[in-house]
Amino acid sequence: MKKIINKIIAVLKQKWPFLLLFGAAIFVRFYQLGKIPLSLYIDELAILVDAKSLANTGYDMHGKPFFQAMFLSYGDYKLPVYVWLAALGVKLFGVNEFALRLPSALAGVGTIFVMILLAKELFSDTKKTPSIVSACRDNILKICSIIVVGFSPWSLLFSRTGFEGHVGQFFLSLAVLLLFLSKKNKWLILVSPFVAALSVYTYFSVRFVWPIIYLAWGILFLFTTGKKFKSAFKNNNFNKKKFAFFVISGLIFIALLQPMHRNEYYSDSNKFRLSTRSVLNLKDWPVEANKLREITDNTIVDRIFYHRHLLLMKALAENYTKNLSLNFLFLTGDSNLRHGTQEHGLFLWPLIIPFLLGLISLAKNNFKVFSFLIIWWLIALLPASAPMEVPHALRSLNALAPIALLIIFGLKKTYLLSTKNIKLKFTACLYFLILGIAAFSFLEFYFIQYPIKSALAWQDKHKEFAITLLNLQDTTEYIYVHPFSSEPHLAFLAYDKSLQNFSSLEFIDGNVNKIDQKIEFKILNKHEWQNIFPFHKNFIIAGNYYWYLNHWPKDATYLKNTKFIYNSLGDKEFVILIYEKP
Amino acid sequence: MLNKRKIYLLAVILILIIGALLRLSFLEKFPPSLYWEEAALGYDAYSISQTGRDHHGNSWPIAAFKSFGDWKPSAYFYALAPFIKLFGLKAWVVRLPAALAGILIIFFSLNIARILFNKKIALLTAILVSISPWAILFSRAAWEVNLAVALLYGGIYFGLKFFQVLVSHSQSDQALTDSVNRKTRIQQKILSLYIFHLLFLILAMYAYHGTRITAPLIGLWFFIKLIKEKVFFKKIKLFAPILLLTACLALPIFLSLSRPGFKIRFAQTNIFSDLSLVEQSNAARNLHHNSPYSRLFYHRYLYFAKAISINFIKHFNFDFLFISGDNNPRHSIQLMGQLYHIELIFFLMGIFYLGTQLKKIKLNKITFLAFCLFAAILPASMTKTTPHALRILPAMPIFIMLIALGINYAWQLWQKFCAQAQQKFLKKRAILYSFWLLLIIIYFAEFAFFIRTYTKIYSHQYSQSWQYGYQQMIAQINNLKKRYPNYPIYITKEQGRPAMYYWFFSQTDPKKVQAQAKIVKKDQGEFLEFDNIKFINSVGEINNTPAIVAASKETLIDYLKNYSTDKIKFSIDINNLADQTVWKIIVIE
Repeated sequence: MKKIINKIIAVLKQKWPFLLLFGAAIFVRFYQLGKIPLSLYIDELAILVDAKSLANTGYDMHGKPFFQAMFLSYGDYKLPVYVWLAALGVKLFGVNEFALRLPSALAGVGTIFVMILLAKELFSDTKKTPSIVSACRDNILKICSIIVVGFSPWSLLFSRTGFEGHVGQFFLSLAVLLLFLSKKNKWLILVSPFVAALSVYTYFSVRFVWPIIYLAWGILFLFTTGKKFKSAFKNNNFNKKKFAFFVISGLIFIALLQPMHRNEYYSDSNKFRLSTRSVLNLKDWPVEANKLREITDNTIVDRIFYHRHLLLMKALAENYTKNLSLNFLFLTGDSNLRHGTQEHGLFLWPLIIPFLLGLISLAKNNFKVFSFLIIWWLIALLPASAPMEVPHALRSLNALAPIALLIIFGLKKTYLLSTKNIKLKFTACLYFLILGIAAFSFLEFYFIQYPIKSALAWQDKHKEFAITLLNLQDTTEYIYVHPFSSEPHLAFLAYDKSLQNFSSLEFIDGNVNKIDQKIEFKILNKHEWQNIFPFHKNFIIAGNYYWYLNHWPKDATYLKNTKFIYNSLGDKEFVILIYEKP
Repeated sequence: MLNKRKIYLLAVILILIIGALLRLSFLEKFPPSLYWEEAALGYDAYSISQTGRDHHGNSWPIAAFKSFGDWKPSAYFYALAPFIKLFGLKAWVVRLPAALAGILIIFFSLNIARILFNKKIALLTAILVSISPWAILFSRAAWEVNLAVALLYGGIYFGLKFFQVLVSHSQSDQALTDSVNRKTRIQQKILSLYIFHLLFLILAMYAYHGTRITAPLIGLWFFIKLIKEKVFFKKIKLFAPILLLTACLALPIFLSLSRPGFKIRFAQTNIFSDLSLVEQSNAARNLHHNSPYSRLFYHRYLYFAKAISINFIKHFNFDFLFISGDNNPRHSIQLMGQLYHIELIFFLMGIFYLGTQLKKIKLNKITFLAFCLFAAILPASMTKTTPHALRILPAMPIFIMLIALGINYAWQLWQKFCAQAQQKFLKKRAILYSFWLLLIIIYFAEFAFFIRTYTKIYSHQYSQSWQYGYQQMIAQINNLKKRYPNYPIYITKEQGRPAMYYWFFSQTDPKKVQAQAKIVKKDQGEFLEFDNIKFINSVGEINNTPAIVAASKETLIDYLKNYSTDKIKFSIDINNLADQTVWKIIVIE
């Protein structure tokens, strides 16, 4: 027994397990990319449409030049970086799901890299002279990083879908890495604001996160030395050069945000964001506060106790703590099927032990790194806490790096603890076996069960519906489509091969009503029949099955053919009615 | 001069007085009225104390009372009966045993913390328990669980004390050659402590459903420790009979578990009857064509284990513990959590402290605390509504002990910080002790917020959750009954369990109820008629007039459309504390 365990440990000290795991982590990000999840969601489609337009013409779908700080898209104001990257993908691989999701998958691989390097910067023992022992420890740290990040459901799910948040989080952690690398080359401090700005131009909420992280880094690492908080200002080693670099870098970041602030869509986009349901507009807080104060005697004490700001803070805190729940992190995950499997947490469940161990031991061993990671985590959750959909895996993605780093430290600690005696070694082997099984069962679930389970959440068959209608348009005079989603035109714009240039389209509030002069989106009901029927000799009516069942006359006169499109559960999802007069 | 021992004793007495004041004052007013379980406990205890039978006519039930057919554990009834005999059937009397149990909880958690840690932590724990919203809320209504927690912690206390005496004795007796007389005295003391330990645990099993799992688990822990200390087999002649006898005492509970009524209640609350988990497991297996792999990995037991873990972890959610509390308005005052906001920090610090002290403090103590926490939360994790502040009340003193440890740790850090500081002003004693001043100010503000909200807002907004209005309604009905003795009375069941409230507030002779128990119509255990009173589901069931009717305002107004206004002789509305009409009473000619 002892021999076997020692052999396992000896193997871990070599290079190839690391490479093997890394290869596997890359493989699971690229295997069937674009096919799993089954189809593109509205936001992804919108990016694909803009990317297609940029790749073909250099202008977005509204005819604006590609170098702009904000894209109108379908009226939700998208930030440019992901669109540019997707356009690059489209240029290389054509208009398809793979091209769209490629930037995110690459960011996923990049995140693993960044995590390995960050873990090395933050956790490796610099005091000891480089020896075989520390080299092997670094190897363990690398392996831990890959296990935690590479196979975490959180990272994997978002690596395989085209959400800007994931790429934004990659740039953010890259910028943080640059800050730490600047210890050796201080010019990197000046590079980091560029990467951070890139991150802001990818995902909006980084704007609030970066400044706090930057300040925390400055206070904890740049201006203090050693593990304890000995201020550099006091001990005469205050470095004017350091300070100048710090300020300049901050100014660069602020300057880089100006194009966004000056953009014509900027104020509209803020209004759009604030209009979503959040704690801010959940209740009429002054009225709520007055109600409570009326019940009490409205003394000064009551006016403080039941102040509207305090009530709002309580609602915010409630949302905030939901993102901190261990269940959310390790067992249940986001309930939205696009953001989680509903069966797995953000990280593999056995990692809950290293997570707790990492929290305690890091706070004990290196309080500075601990507080930096905690600040990063907590500030990353703030933008995710105001809206009412909490906990939210996508909006809290910026917290992926700090939580992962805490777990990595804990996992390394678990391994180091286990080397003490044979009993512990055995337990550790058992633990890593369970971890392996958990990872395997997650991957199995993700690639086999999840696609079917989540098909409807990903609006599966919208593509098929659009393509079927586009193919039918030569056979008929006119096509009416009942709007089957909030943005029905996107699927048509994306998959219409004859439509490479959107300049001919007429946009109303970011939406299109007519494509190719033949396909029209129109809310159809029984009365509309009178307005359609007399004007065409043959035409097609199409929409979702629910609409057909409830709002469309089943008059069979002139109905030549009815086509159904079935969803992955085998139910009728769409209906295409082909009418022809003799 | 006061020595340290006297100061400690004085502090303990002071804390107990504060705790008692917060638990015993205005018992009938806060919460504003009797919840139906309280009415049922009160009336059955009354019935037992008067006649020796419960209101169904069962003589001296042992394990459980039938009550509404939900088989309530018996301990609270018997704890209550003497007080009812003494003070009569009143709302505050019904709540008295829970309030006294609340004081006992302070006392036992103080002593447990003293054995596990030291006097300072013990005092901190005690004062925090005595002012904790969680402890106060459950001490001020007739919650069986509060009694169970007091008994459970009594059991833990005697168990710990037993080991303390055992260890100190076995260490000292090698050095000292005690007289035989003294030896037997110590042996007697040790044995009696063990007997008390077992007795309290078994009584706890009689007090609440959840502790039927928690108490045996804790007893098992002590038993295993007893074997590990190599005492058990040495003195097997002494311990074996004690264990056997106490096991016999627990027997009625195990016998009662097979009762069908109990099984139904169990099935209603636990997750194992949740078919959706089984369906999930089956669906996943079907997708894999029922391969051996899928049968292992998608086994229903794994789904159950996962559901239990999720429920377990939910009880540590910060918003449940520190921000908004249990959703059920009877279990929390809604505007704050089960514990004070500031305690979140100390809770985390306490856990961190224990985590870092693993080598210094004996591992045994930390694992014991962790085990108690586990055993206290496990039963609640197997039920459907989680997080549940009532079902995990046995964990409350441990949470507070962790908070006390956290405060102590923060104090140590502050001391260290002040000692190492180079600035002169930080060296002053006043600065050092300002830590406690600040802490007291924060706690005072939090406590003031709690008391203000509890007495003013909570009782106003949530009187409905406590079935406010029954007492006033029954008083009116009894008045009308005197005026119209021959009229039948109809009371709807819209607010739940009207029969019990009627007996309670009319102080009906239990013999009369017992006499009718076999004749009248019942729904499970609930009476649907009594004398000339009918307890109906809705006003539609009224079949003969003239009559006295009590129902909710909306349904009654709807019903009265059939009658001309001159037929209604008398009408009165009864409002709850938020000025919503809960009852309307009318007399129809």
